[in-house]
Amino acid sequence: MRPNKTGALAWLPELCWLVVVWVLLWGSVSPLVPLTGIAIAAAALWTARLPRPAPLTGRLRPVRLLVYVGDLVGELFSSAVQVSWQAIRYGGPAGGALVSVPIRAHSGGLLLVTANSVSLTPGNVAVELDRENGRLFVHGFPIRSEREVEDLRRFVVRIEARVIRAVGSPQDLRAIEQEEKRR
Amino acid sequence: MLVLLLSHFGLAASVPFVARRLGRATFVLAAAAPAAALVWAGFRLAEVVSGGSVTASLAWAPQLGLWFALRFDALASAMVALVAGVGVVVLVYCSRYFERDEPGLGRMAGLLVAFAGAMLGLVLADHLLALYVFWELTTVCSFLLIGHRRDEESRHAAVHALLVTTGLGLFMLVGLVLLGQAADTYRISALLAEPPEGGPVSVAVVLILLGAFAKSAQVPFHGWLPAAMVAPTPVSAYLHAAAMVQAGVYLVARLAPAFADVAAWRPLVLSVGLVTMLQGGWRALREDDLKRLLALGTVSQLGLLMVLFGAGSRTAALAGVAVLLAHGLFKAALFLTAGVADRQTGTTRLDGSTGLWRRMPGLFGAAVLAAASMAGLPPLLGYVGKEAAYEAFLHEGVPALVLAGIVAGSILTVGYSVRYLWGAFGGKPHTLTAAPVPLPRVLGLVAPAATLALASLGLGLLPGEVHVLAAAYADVFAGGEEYHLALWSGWTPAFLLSAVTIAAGLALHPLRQWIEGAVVRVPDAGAVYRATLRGLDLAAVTVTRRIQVGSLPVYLTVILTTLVATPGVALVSHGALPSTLRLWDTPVQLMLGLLILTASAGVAVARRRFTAVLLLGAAGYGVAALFVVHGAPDLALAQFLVETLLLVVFLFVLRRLPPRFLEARQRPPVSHAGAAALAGLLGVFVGGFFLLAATARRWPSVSAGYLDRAREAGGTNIVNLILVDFRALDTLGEVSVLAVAATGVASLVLVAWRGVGGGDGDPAMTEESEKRRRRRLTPRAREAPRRRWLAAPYGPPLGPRSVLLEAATRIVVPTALVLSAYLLLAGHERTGGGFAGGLVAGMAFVLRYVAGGRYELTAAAPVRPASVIGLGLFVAAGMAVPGWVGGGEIFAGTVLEATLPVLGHVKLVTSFFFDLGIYLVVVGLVLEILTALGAQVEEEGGLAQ
Repeated sequence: MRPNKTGALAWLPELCWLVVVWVLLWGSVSPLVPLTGIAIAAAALWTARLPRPAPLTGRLRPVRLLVYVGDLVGELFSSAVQVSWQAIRYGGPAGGALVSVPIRAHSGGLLLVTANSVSLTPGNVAVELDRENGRLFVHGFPIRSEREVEDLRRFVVRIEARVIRAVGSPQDLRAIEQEEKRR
Repeated sequence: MLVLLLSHFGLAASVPFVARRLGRATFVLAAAAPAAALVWAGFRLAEVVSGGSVTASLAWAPQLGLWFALRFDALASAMVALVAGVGVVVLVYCSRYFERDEPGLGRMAGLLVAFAGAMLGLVLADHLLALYVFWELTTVCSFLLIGHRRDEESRHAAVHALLVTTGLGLFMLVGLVLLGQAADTYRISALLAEPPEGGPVSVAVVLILLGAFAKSAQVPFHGWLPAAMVAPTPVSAYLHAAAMVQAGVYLVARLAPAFADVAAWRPLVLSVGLVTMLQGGWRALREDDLKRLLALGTVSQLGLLMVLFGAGSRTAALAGVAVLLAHGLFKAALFLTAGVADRQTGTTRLDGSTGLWRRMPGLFGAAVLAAASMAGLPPLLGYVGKEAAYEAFLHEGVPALVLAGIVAGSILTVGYSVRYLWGAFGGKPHTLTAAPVPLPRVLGLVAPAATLALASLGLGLLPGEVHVLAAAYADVFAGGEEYHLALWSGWTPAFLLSAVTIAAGLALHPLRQWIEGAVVRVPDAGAVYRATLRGLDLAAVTVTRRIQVGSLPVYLTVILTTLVATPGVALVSHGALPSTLRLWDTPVQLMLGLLILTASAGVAVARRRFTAVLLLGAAGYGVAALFVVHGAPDLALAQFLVETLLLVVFLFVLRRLPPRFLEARQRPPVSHAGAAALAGLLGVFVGGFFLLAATARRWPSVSAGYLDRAREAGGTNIVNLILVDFRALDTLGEVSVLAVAATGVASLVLVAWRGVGGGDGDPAMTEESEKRRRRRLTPRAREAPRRRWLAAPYGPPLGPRSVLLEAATRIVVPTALVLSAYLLLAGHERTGGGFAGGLVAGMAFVLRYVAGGRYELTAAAPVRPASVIGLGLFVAAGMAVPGWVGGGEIFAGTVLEATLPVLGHVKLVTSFFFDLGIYLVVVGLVLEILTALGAQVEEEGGLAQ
């Protein structure tokens, strides 16, 4: 891990993000907008009084990012169809299940992206994250059989791997690759 | 004059801040304002006594006929002399009277100056409504000053005074409005020049007199004045002897020239005044407390003043001015001596054995002078006034009963004057140590009283000068008599009556034991007041029990049925549907309409509250989508945000309610079908109403000019411009009402739940359980870095902590804040505005609260929500000032533009600050809701555990 960034520098990524949001909102890049953006972003961070963000440890790998996004978008469609079919075909109350999935990523950011990707797909909600024991609890729908539980579990693991490949730290990436070799 | 008034209030607002450093000298500083008023009045006196007047006015809202008009004439000058003169003396006296460490010195000094300013405004006001405002300001000051000691007795006395004077003040307000409407002007000078006539005027005059009677402690409203004697002595001397209680008399004097001939005036004023004079005098003779004796004496003298000014004749008015001045001087002086006596002997009981006359001859001298003026002995001012009073009523045409009453009242006055001197100073000092202790600071305490007493003497020796002033007022009364105020007018009947009065009065003193023992039942005004209050309470409880059954469905049914039944019937009978009706612009509207209808119908049939809330939200979002389709993004944005906030609030509330609307075999207070039918009818009514209202337009729409004006106001978003510029005053009103309502509701919720159970929110406890939890973890888990996402490491209000929620909150909050800043800043040009921005920022706080609980909220916004609301209102209302002061209209905005080197073209519209105010109010409101509802929910959780 990199040495802890201290002081104001740790806020820099978040500040940049906020300035980007600001510029996009105004839809203009005349000097006035980014400059006020910096002031507003700093003010927002200061007034929010939140704890300092974690240092970024990940690396951006553009190709793999595309793979991740593509996979996710595909999954969005397929599960949307599944859920709709469930509603139209069966209607009424259907079976759902709370599934516990073991996770491997260490950084909180990666876990979050994973959990939220899962939640994005229709029918699935990441309910809780137990970081101490390395588990993600996902509520899936529709689930009627043990096989579908396994499908969901595999889906979560796959998405996690894609996320780590796309933006994970080298350390996380090595862990994944070693594990897959062992299989 | 305006500057003079403002300086009073400015000083009043600032002295409390320097009080800690200056200590008792604060009072001397505070005396600067009345002193300036006194000097100013002195310079303008010449102008006034020749019959002229000094006026000043400030346009407040000229379109509405609201002028802040001041007028300084002969009557006002007499009052100003009293108010400012006695004010200076009393303030100087205060700087010696109070102990150095007396609590609330600064507050008291500020209030006294504020009172002096209010009183000054009252006597100078030339507008009925301005007069009323100052009238009530003096009442408020009096309330605060009586309650200075903050114990039970002071509090009761303060409330008593407040209820009686403001309660009848409301009658007076009605009277003033009636009068102003009848005369078609609220300017007092114009009103007096051409007095209106007719039935409403008689009613108005009676109502105004009621207010004046209460203020000047006339029977039967006099009970508050003796009770008010719990106030510190200087306060009694100023407010309850010289200044405030004379306000009622002043009003009678002010209106008498025009309205003394109204049928009800003379009988009412003369009878009430006489009864008050006799009753007060009699009770003063039996009183055994120095201050209450003086207070009852004041009641009696105010009765005399009422008679004199109410009589509406020239001589009586001359006497009135003289007695007014005399009474202010001698009564304040007597109170000040009573204060010293109290400080030196430690009691205000009057037992005739203090022997103070030997120990403090200077003080005794001052008291003798003042009491002599009160008793009407020559050559003091009181004598001059009393002679004139006798003279006025010796003439034919006035019932002899009035004269008899005044003589009897004056005899009583002489009696209690002697009683006061005897009680405060008399006897041998046998209860005190033989060698008198050296008395500290005695000069500073005696000098003010002596000043006032000597002024009585001085004016008494110069009756000619007093006459000039009094005549400048009294000459407006038509009357043949050419009476002059004088010490010696020859062997007139009035002189003989004076002699008889004094002799009889002196004879009362030896009879004091008989008088004290005499059984004469005079109704006690205090008992009447208490009985009235009890009756009122009882009536309120009875009515409330009948009307307020405590069931929300029943209330709603009553309100909505009324709505459907009254305007609804009118709509059906008189309304005409528009000839052409377009069902929709695009099919999307139809779809959305169906969605909304389905959701609404779903709410009606839902069994579970949660389902109903969600369906309600769906209907709301559907309406927002309709707005979007209709091309109203601002409305849609606001609707979306409000709907979301509402959902969260509902979730908090649902925690406390059973999941289903009705438990098994429970009968609803309003039948389900009935409620659904009513709701349906209401929907039809509202829809039909809007349809008709939109087509019933006869005049061109006011919004037609908005587009052109928008450029002038420096913006392009008309919705926002209407809110913050064109109709800023409306918005301010709405925001204020919202703030008041929210604060009220929140305080009710908080009050109801404060002190119930311990709650689970104790940080120390939570920290302890957190440690315990970690000890139970597996080794791997313990090594895992425990990251903090939020500022406060304690749990949320509902359920266990959720890392996912916390993390999402951590990431979303700064972005939400930036978005809210954008909405606020962009509102003038694009979709947005302070309201939407404030809601988005509020939503960020909602998120943090839901994720992190009460402590997270405190960490996020370490301010009291009420302060945020207050600051917002202040900023928004403050925007009214620049335009107004700049000579334009209130809320007039300016566009500031500049081209800067790097930044380019920069534009700032001043109405942005108004928007900022709204933003703050909304954020404060959301915080208030979270605090109130959240506290309740967490309390509940604590109890459940």
